[in-house]
Amino acid sequence: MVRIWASAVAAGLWLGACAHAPMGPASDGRFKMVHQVSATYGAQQYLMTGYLLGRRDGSFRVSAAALVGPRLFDVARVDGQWKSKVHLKALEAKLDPRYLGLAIDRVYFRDCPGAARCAVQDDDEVDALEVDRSAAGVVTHKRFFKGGVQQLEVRYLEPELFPDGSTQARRIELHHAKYEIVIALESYQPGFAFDDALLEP
Amino acid sequence: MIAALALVLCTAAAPQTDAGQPGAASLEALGRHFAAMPHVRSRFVQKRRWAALKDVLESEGTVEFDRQGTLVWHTEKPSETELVLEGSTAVMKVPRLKTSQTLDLKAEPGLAAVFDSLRAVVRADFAALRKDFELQVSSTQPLAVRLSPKAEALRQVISAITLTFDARLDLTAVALEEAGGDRTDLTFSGHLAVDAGGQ
Repeated sequence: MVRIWASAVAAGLWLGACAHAPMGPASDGRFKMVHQVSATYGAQQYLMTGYLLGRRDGSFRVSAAALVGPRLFDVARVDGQWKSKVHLKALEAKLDPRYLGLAIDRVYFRDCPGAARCAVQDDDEVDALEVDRSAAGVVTHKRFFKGGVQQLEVRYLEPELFPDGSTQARRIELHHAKYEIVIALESYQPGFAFDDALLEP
Repeated sequence: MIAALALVLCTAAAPQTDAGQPGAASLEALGRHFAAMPHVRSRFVQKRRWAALKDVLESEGTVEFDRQGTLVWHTEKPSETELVLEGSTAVMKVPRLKTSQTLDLKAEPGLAAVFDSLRAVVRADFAALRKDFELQVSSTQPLAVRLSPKAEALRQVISAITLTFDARLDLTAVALEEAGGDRTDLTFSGHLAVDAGGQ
């Protein structure tokens, strides 16, 4: 379902440096999102409800539960450190929550402010990002690269303007050679107050 | 959760129970009542409490159950989803994701255990329930029956299910306590027996 890295990277190899910031402004930098998520890895498909707490600095936590059923896992990146917990033993051998954590990071926190292309740091799978924006400056498409070869792309569909002035995609599609993640945004609450301790799984 | 929902369907004007043995008498009465009802529909409101996040997600919709054991759990708000449980197959439809998922419960023993338990509850199948749960009448007014799973596999998912009935022994609430501390509370209303055509 659904994000990472703290300080806006200072040095970029191309036009700018990849920064971590949620799409659009959130007054105090905190927000909550609830998603429906389909994650497909080969023949395996997981349908989930994803609950995301995020901070503007790129720290976040995702809790995933079966659409009908128990909580599945938690994954978080707090101040650059990954933490995860799988709640169902049957899932431990099948699902690495970090994949979904990385997806959230790439979908919601990686950007190239003021640039169309920038370097990506702190991510072993990719080293560069290209971003397409609409005339209004809303991100519509991201492409992530490693060594000049595209590794994955993210498409932002069904944009909707929210009261905080941000535009959020109601549907997001992430395509990778090995997996596909589709995210349907159910709710978005900018300025959602939460204690930092809740970011710890 | 799904199983809990199915319980809704056992809403019936069942005979009053012996106060000394309210649990068994009530469940048996519900079982008889259910056996006589071909197809039941009810509305539900679900509050899912995420303990670790100190937050509640609320949803609502309808649940249907028929004598053959088919269960349809249809969530209308905040987003539409539909779960159809039929035989050993569970189908989840998520229109906003433009996808559906079919699960073979024979290949998912953990999930199958949950569904089997739910079905047993819905059918008031005491033999099955007592095989999988310890039954305890936790309250007499209102009547509440607490189911505690015996099997470790089921305990890893569910800590307890509590069913609450009104004075007519209609099922009005189900509380599902998960092993991880989360809790789902379901309330049911508008129980309706429908004909075979679903009208």
